[in-house]
Amino acid sequence: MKPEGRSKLEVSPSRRGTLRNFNVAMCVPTLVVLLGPALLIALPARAADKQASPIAAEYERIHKEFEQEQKAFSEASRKAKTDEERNNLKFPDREKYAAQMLALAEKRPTDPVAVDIVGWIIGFSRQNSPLPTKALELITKHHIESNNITELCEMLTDDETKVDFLREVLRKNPHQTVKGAAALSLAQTMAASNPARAESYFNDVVEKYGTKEQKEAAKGALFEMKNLAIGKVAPEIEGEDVDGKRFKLSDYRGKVVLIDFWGDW
Amino acid sequence: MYPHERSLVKRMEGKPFALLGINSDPKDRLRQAMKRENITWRSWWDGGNTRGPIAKAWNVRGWPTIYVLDHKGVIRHRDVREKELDEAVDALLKEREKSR
Repeated sequence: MKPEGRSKLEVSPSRRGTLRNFNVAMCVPTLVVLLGPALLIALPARAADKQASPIAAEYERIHKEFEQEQKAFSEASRKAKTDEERNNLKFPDREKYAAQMLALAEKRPTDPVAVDIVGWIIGFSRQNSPLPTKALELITKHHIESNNITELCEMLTDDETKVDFLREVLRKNPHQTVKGAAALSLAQTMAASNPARAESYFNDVVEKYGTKEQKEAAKGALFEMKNLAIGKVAPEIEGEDVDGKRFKLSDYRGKVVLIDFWGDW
Repeated sequence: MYPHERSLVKRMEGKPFALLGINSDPKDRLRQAMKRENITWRSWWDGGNTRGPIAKAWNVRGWPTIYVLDHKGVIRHRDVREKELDEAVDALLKEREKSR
């Protein structure tokens, strides 16, 4: 599942739901790569729910139809011989599918599959679409106390318009893991605009709610805010090069230093 | 990244500048990459995967992640690329000159 090329977004379990990268205007060559993981995330994983739910089959049908259109598009763009030909291809209308998805969820708003559908809408609708907000209203109304909305909360980072929803989750949801996810997303969203508030949410995860993994993520983020911000003296780095020779960042004091975390992928 | 890094390092030859990598590949892959891409700058080898101790300490979640430090070791830029990166490095070198 590693994206090709030099750019890499690590998909750790706690960040699996983060789909913001899939929402940015996608250019054709990266499309296939980017949609791969998204499709996996969006599909419902719970077989039991699928069988019991009257909307699961329809959800899957719409999703498959969308997936097929995506595939056909990728295929056609791969085969296109000229840029002009490529530019004339019609990009699948994600918004149309998202609207269908929302109508479906609204038919059975209390169904657990509706939560998966809302996740799909958030992941796939276009930027500035009104649909994710509508879809979240459904969650606020019917699933706010569910232990089923952790991944949904994880998806909602870096979007100020989702802050109210996350606060509502934090107030009303009784489950530690869900609260942890909501607080982490709140903190990440506010890290730039309101660092003091972000810090207090991260601290809540460390001290009050959250799984071990969520606490680790919060600690890492707190360290980053305190020690890795612009204007801070960089923490020491000490280690070995590929031949086992030890060296330190402070050996280079007095020079302008570019630090590059990289991999050959 | 590689071509740009190569040209930056070349342009900075003889200047008080260092490009330092923190690499998340297995050792053999790192060696291959250094040879194939003609990488002359040094990298810490961070344990062979993206969860290495340095990446973990620096809370790195996306690759590449870039920091630019001034001559006093202060973090001055993060995730700048291409032209912006060149300009940042040039400005910091000038700043260093002035402070002498």
